[in-house]
Amino acid sequence: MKIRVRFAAFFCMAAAMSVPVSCVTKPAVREIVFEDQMTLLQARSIQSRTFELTDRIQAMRSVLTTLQDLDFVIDGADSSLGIITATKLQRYQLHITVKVDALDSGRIRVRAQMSAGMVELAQGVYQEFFASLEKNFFLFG
Amino acid sequence: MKKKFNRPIWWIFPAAAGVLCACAMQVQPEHLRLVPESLAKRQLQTRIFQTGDEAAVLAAATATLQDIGFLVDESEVPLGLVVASKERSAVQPAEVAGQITLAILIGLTGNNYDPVWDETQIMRVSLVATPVMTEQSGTAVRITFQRIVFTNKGGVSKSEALGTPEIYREFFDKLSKALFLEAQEI
Repeated sequence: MKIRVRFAAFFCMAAAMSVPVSCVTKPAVREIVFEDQMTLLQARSIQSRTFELTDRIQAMRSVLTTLQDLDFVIDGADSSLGIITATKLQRYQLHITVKVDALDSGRIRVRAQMSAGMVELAQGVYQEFFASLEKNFFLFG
Repeated sequence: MKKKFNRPIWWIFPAAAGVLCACAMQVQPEHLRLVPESLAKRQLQTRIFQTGDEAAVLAAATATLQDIGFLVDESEVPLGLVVASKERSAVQPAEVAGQITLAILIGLTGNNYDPVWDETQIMRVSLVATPVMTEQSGTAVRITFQRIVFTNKGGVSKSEALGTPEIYREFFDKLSKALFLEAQEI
């Protein structure tokens, strides 16, 4: 009997505790859709680079080469929108979307966004990606 | 004996293991760095065909991929890109037999074990054709393979880039035949 009472008390406590915990930890859908881990400008500056290039299609081809050099397999591309998507499979699945735009100033802007699901991106991944891309821009124009 | 573990030295090992695990679970900058091996890999994955007709090369490459059972998922001619995939069985009878035996043995001890084995695999390929403007003019074709293996429980057991030299050689031999052209290594 004592055991039953103790079990019931434990169960009630656990249930009571789970309610506020679930309220606190469950993020609202709005927060997931509009998450702002950093300010918009910060994100853009980390994820974007502008290059002294003029040919957008040639720039996109260099992005494809760089992604293949880095062991990505290309998922798809749209030359009219300037979008390339690719995935790298290791212990994680790293997805990347690269957007290549021709600016009015005659230069090319490249914006990359990476996501590896629950696996975090260490600091410096974007800088390293753009350094690799710059090398290929230099080699292939 | 207890005192022995109070020494700071014993805490270094779990701490180091923790740091290593944390690093392993992050995408590190060096994973996005071009290294000398990248060039060697590029050479392995690329052949140059002595034709400036990029569209013809893409058409032949697409036909070759279809011949070896791939379904074309995406194509973007202005960029010379074709993406294809195929799903195949990944079942290995020895692995299945091993898992079922293990489940029976564990079951005899009164515990439960849900046997898990590789069931299906999705192979994906991306192929990029690029005009070559150097002294060796023509069209360069680069192909990269990867696969994801799923278990009978729906989990992912392997996700990896593929590509032994033999795979690339065989693919480019087939593509050469399709194009009636001799492929040259870069």
